Amino acid sequence: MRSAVTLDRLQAGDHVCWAFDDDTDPPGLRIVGEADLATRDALVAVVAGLTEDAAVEDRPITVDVSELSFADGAAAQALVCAARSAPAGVRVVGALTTLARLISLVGGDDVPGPSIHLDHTDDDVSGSSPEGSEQD
Amino acid sequence: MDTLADMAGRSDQSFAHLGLCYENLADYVAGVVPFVENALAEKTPVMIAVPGERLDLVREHLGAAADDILLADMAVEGRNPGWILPGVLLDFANRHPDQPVAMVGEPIWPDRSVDEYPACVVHEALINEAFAGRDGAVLCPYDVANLEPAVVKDAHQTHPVMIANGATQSSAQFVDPYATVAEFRNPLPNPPAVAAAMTYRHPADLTAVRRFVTKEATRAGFDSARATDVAVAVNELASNTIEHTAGGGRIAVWSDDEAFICQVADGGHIADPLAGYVLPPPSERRGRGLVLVNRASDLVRMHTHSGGTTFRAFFYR
Repeated sequence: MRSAVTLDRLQAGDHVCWAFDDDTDPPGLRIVGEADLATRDALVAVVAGLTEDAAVEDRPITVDVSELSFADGAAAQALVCAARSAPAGVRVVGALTTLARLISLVGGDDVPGPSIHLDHTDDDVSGSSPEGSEQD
Repeated sequence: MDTLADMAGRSDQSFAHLGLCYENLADYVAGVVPFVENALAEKTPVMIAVPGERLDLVREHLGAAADDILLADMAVEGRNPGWILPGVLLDFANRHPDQPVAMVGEPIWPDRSVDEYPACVVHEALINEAFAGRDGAVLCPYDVANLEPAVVKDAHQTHPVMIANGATQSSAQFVDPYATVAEFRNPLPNPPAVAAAMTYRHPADLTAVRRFVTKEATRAGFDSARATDVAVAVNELASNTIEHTAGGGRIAVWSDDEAFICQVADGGHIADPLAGYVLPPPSERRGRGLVLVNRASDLVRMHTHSGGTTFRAFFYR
C-alpha cells in the first residue's frame, strides 16, 4: 500500500517526502481529502515533494487520488505542473471523471512527452449524460 | 474573393470578424462555402462550428473538402455561449499557433433563450478582443429571416464587417466591444423569494458550500455527476470571492422549469472583461477558475461593477 498524505492534516511549509523505498512499486503516494482553497498550501507541499523526487526518478511516479473526494481547478493545475517536471511522467490513479476533466482542461493532455497519464476508475458517473447514472 | 487579410475590418490588426446575414439556405451556402474554400486554398486550417442541420448543409456542399475541416455542432459544443471562445474557437486557434485560422461560428439561432441571448452578444463582442492581433478570420452567420430585427442590429454592433446580399461592408454601427459587453452584462433580477441561500467567508467554508449546492441540486433531481458539475462551478466562484475580496459572499439557488440556477454574489469587481473566456498558457498557475465555471455550466450570466459582482450559473435539466 502506498503511503498516504491527508491534506487537511498538513501545515503550510511541511515537507512531504515521497521517499521511494524499494517496497513501493510503482513509486508514489496517495493523496487523501479535499483539495480546495483551504488545503491549497498542503497540496503545494505535496506537489513540491513530488517535483523534487520526480527529478531523480526514472520510473513514472504514481499519484493515487482515489481517496481525493474533491479537487478544484488549481489542484488539477498543480498536478499538471508537477507532472511536467517529472522526466518519466506522472501516473494519476483513481481520478474521478471530474478531476480527469479538470486535468484535461488545464492542459494535462496537451503536453508532449510522458507527462501526465490518467488511469480512470470512473467510479463516479461520466460526463453529463443523464442515462449513465448509477446510484452512489 | 478577398484574402483573409483583405477582409480585416480594422487596419490595426489582421483579424477579421465578419457577420454574414443570410435570408435562406442558398445565401448560407453562397456565404460560407467560398469563405471555407478560399481558406483551404491558402492552406489555412478551417473549423466550422454551426448548429447541426447547418453543419449537414455545408458538409454536403463541401464534399471531399470537408475531410480537411474540423466540424463541430455549435448547438452542442457551444450551447454555453461562454464556452465558445475558450472551448471551441480559441481551442482551435491555439492548436495552430503559427498560422492564420479561418472559423465559421454561428452562436445565435432563433431558439436561443432570453437568458442565453445577452451572453451570446457578450461572446460576439469579446471575439474582437480575444483575437486582437491574431491572424485569421471568424465568419458568423445570422439567420436574418428568422431572428428578431434587434438581433440583427446587435450583430452590426459586434461585427466590424458585415456581409449581406453578397456585399461586404464595414459596419457603421460597430462600437467598442467592451462597451457592448457592459451593456449586455446588465444587472440581474433578484432571485425568487423561494431561493435557498447561504453565506460564506473563509476557505474552511468551502466544504459547506459544496455540500449545500450538491444537496440542493440533488433535491432538484440532478444525478451525482451533474450535482458535481454544480459543486465544481460554485466552488470556483466562491473561492474567487475568498481569494480576491475583503468580505464574504452569498449563494442563492433555485429551480425553474428549465434549469437549476446558482447565484453567487460578492463585493468584488472583475475588471478584465475577458476573464473566464481565455485560458492562460499551460505554464501559468492561475486564471482558470472562471473558465472552469463556463465549462461546468450550461449558461453563465454576470454583472460586475465597482460595488460588487453577481454570477448566475444555469444547469439545464
